[in-house]
Amino acid sequence: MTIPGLTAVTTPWRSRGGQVRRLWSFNAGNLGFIAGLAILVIMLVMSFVAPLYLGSGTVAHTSQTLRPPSAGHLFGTDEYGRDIFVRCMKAVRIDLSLALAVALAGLAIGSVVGSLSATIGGWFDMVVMRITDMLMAFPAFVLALIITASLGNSAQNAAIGVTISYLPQFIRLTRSQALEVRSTDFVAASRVSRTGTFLVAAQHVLPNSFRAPLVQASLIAAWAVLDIAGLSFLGVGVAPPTAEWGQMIALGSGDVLLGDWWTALFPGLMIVAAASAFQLIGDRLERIIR
Amino acid sequence: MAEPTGGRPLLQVEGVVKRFPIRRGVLRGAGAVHAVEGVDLAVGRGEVVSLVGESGSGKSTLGKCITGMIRPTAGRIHFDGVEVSGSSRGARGNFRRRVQPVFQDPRSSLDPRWAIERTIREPLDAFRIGNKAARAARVRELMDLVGLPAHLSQRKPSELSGGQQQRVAIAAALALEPDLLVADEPVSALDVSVQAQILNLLADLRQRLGLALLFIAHDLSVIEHISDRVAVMYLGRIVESGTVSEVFTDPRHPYTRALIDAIPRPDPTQRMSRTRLIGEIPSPVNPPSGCRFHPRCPVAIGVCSQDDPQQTTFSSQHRAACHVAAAQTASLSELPHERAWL
Repeated sequence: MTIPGLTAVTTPWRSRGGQVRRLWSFNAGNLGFIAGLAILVIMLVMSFVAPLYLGSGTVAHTSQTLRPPSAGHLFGTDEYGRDIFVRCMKAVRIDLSLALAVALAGLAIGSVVGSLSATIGGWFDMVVMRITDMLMAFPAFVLALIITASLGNSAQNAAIGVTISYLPQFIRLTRSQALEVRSTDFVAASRVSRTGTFLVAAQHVLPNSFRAPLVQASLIAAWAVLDIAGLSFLGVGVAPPTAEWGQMIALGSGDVLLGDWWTALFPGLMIVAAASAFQLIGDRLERIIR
Repeated sequence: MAEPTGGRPLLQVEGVVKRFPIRRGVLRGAGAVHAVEGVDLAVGRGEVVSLVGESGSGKSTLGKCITGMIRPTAGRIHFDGVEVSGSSRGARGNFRRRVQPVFQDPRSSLDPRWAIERTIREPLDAFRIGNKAARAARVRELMDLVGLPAHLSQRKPSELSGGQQQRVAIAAALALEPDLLVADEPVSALDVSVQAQILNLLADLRQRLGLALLFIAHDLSVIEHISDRVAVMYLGRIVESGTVSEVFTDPRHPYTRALIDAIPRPDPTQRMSRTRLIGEIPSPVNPPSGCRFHPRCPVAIGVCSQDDPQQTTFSSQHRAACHVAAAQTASLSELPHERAWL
């Protein structure tokens, strides 16, 4: 018998067997997750397949500039006559890998710092919290922009900038989970009579407060897609001639006024699709751990 | 003060005080929670001492001070003649091995991600005892000792019953061959039928390993059969202590009487005169003046609200801190005990 209202009571450190399996079943609640995963898989496959059949998209064709979408050029061509479809697909690899790098680096650094902060406590916790407060005082994108611009414009620095701008979220989230885990008796037993602080953090606190940050990572990946594209749009991220969505929009944004809508629209749609895919996956994961 | 029979005690607690300063809310800086206020207690080798009292009496806080989970504000704790309350973490190393905690809720005292074999092995790993094979053998031995079948060794805590989980927790606590277990309500989270099994296990382990036990409980019926001595706590103080038979058959402090009267006796012919406690335990932030029990005491007299009662010795072991009880032994010791309360 289930009592409504009682089923919602959860504790973050309980193991929940069978939840990973629930991800692979086809049902209404799972449609978003499957769709999100499908979008990412199709994008990745296309990023490898498209250049094989449709050319590299790097060579300028002065005779074919600014062609509207057609059977030959699905998304049309840009002002240098490069095929936008191929360029959109080639950009998948760099955009998705930067977004994933941001999410994973944020997760790795944030969860370690957050769980240590909760386990050690005292002045260490104080310092970490004040630093996160400081970082959170900036709007995330502005902070990413400042960091990337001061490190120098490159794809790698854009990823570093965006990662730092999201670190406070990971640290705070892991810390709040870890504080709850830390108050459990198995941590008390391990701490007092058995192991040192770092081992306790590594063996008990971190692994038991990892679920929420993991979900957070897939939601952050969605935001990172937007931020990476945004930075490149502003010219501080991925530099031309590498194909990247935000930078393609920047290149095409002037054309829109002249009626050549396709140069900016399709990279924009790619960004929406990729961000939505991460969001859909994250939403489902979040619902499962709640 | 409660003292064990003969010899230097294994654990000697002297005047331990623990106050938690209030750091949050409108009362910030306005005072402290007086959780433990000057407690003396001793546990001898192989002895079972029970600490009883209702929630908020400070018994768990005292237990945490003894296991070293928190540091007392004042007072000394000696273990086997060595002071351990103020010493550095390194100096505590040996002491940490010899005093091990057992907690109330086994579901939260076992890491849900670890197979029970790993939980039991953790202390052995932490202190690098023996090689891999020796540790594995020791884990099997410990599981056998607490009555866990060997085939459960790879199970997760969630796959075990509450009683089995508590056996795992006890096995892990025993891994380092401690001299003293501090068991904080080890059976109150368990089914009644399982409680007896765990109590029997603890009594059995004491017999076989010569283990001393500090047993923290709020339920007197649980400790009656397992303890040698009992100490009753109220609002951070020990109000009465003595051997089990002294405290149970001849309680001197009205609080102890009330606790004993609260034990359900399955005997309808028994007289139904009971001391009942009314109200809640007062706030440990502002403890009552004089005797801390006087606002709830059925026999309080004028002096109780002014003077803090000292411990009165009734026999070599039996002591209580009560003005009324002290006055009775002084002048009315011939009066039948039951009548004296009317």
